[in-house]
Amino acid sequence: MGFLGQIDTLLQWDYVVIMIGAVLFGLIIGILPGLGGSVTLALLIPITFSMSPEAAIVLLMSAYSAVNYGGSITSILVNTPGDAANAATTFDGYPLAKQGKAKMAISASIFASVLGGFIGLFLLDLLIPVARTLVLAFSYPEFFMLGLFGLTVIAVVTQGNTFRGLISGMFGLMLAYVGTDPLLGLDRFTFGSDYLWDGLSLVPVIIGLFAITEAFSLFTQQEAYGSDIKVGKKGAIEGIAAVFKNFWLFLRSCFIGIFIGIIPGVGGSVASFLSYGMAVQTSKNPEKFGKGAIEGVIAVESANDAKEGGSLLPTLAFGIPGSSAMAVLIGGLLMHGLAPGPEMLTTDIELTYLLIAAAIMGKIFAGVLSFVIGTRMVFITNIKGTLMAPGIIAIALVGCYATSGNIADVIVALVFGLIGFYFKKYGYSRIAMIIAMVLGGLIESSYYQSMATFGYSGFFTRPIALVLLGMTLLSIVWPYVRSQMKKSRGKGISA
Amino acid sequence: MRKTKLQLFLLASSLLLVFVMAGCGASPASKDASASSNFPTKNIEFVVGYAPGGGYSDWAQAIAPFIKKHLPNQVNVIVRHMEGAGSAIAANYVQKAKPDGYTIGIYNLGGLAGTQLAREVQFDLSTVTWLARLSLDPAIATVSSKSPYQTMEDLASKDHVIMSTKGLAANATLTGAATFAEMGVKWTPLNHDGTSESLLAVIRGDADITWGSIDSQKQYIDSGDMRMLMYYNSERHPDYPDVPIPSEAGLPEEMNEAFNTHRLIGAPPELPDDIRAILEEAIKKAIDDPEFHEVLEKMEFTTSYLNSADTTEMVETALQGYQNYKDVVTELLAKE
Repeated sequence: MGFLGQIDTLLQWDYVVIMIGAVLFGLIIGILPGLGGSVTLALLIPITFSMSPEAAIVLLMSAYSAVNYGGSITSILVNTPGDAANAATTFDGYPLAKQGKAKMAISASIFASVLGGFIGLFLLDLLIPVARTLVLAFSYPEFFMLGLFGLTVIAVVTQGNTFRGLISGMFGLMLAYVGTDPLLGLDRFTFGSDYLWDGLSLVPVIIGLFAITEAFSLFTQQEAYGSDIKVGKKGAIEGIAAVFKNFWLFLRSCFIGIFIGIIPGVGGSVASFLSYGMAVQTSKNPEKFGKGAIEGVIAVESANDAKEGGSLLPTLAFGIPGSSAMAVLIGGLLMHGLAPGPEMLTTDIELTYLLIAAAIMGKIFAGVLSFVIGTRMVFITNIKGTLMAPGIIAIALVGCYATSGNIADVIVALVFGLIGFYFKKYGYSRIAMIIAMVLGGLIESSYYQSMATFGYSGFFTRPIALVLLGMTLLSIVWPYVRSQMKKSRGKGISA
Repeated sequence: MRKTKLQLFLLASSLLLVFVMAGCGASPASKDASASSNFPTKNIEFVVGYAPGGGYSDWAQAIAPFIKKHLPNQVNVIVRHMEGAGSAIAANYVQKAKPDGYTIGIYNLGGLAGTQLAREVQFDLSTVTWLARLSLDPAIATVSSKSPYQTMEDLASKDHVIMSTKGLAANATLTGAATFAEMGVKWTPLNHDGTSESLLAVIRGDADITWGSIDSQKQYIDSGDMRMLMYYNSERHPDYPDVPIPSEAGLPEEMNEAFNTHRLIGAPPELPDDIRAILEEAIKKAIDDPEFHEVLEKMEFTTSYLNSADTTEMVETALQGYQNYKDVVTELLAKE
């Protein structure tokens, strides 16, 4: 608990001013779709040149803590994720908003985020002594099994419509293989365009599939999605209560987040999808998911923030970034003469604790501010659909363009808006498609990497990989076992 | 054709400016209206082909305000990130931009030369108008500090070496492939998306060896996670006097400098000479600026400046060097 000693350092008035400013900045960036944590840090690093290393850490960590909250607010209200990591928040957050429960969803998501972030950093603090061993314990066979486990989620989220779910998943896998092949590093399905060398980027695809598709259907159905429902005054308290009601789910999601965060090379968005899938699988009524289950929001947001604690671990232990945002953070720390890596755990340990303390304080500030702002933005759901739609399209497309300034991203978003529209119309699963697309690349490259280093035996001789394989098999078999059990008890409700 | 049009336009606009000045009389007198020295009149776009946070982005962001400071007119030099495809997207963008001096880019010579050889691209490094070389980043070969291999020769005895790579067309992979080809070592690639993953594979012991630039790996060598086996340059690195250069290890001498990574600033082909000269001058002054050196020191960056003509010559030699190893690349890609 070394970081506790640093909290009082942070309560000096100049640091508090920096924190509030940084949190506001982070929130604004987070609300803009497409712009995520790494952009925030990159924009702020030049400002830190003239600061002391301590002030720089406080500024960067507080702003970074706030970004995620902004993204979850737009995910819930207008189905537009701020970053790939928020994408899974839209699955249930937006349906909740449509039912007039936006306030509850937002407060639950922020509360789960803040608490999840705490748990992530708290565990990071505990794990520091074993950081190096832990990071090195995961290799390619484990990555592969993680990806495989994630894919089983598709089976669960598409229950009752397995055939269409599988087709959606296959389509997602197909898209995942566009780009540079992981074996040789050569073009594959790029149609002669260098834009596709890195594959389809996730943010425009998600913005297209969810935000634009939604805007299209708002137009066609003439619906005003929240206007006919009264927004309950107690929404905020209900949201916080929901987190406590699902406390085990919340804790499990935090652990998944930390676990994924520790592994460099497994993208951050994998954490939110895996934890969403786990929530569906362990739920007593999985059919609620995707139609407005508060559990879906809690699982995603807590994993998302807990992950940040995990991804600091490889950064501190080896100087190797656990996520793209961490890569930017390392660049920022280097400029202040701090070398992330083993020294941060020995000679610079006080600064490391300051970093953790700053992240925790940043989360508190960000949580309070986004709670105040977010719950007041709920009025958006009362705007008529035909008025909202052009607004959503405009914000979404600007967000796509802003990410990398490439007009091709805007085209991708529009194309996927159309694809999503027909997916929705004919009952194919957009969630299954996105999950497959996120995991496809991980599964393929880690398969080749495993084969190059361990061969087939790597999949079956490493204990962590075996445990993951067992979980995969269990999650496929479990729904059948459960329905059999229910039948034998004579309660006969279809699962 | 284009040039005369430009001159006509500039003449017309300067005439207009004269009228305006005569008309109101209070216009700022500092504005020089003659055609050649009028550059720049608007902001300059400085394109980076990588995401924020990497070495190229840091370099561009650090030097941009100093280029601005030393340009004749007060315009901004705005860094624009255009990440993707190993900076090929940015290189294509600059290649196709209007050669008016308002679009310049930072280039990774080693990486892009490899890409240009291996894949179909729109940019052509031999036609880019080179403005300066900012720094030189020599290639190195590294193993885990726990690895049993103390020298490159130790690896020759192993019948199956796993090389951690970042794509087979990458400069580092080419360096490794050429080295192993000379030594007659059999190897398999273990491919990754990014530098951190490929380094971690070596630290974890899943791969035997990796190649990269010294800037990208120095921190891991200094922290004791990695050990350098070879340093690609004309002489040994002063901080690592025990590490041999290729020619000392029985490799051909032309390998010493063939694979170094250079950070260059370039502009679209056929940039008019007067504009080139203005930009070159501003970059040189920026590099000599003592304030800029303070920034560099903070970031632990070193400069290795070459002017426009020397950079152009260096790029030509380097491209020729890559051409010589082209069969190594084609062999690599045909393997599967």
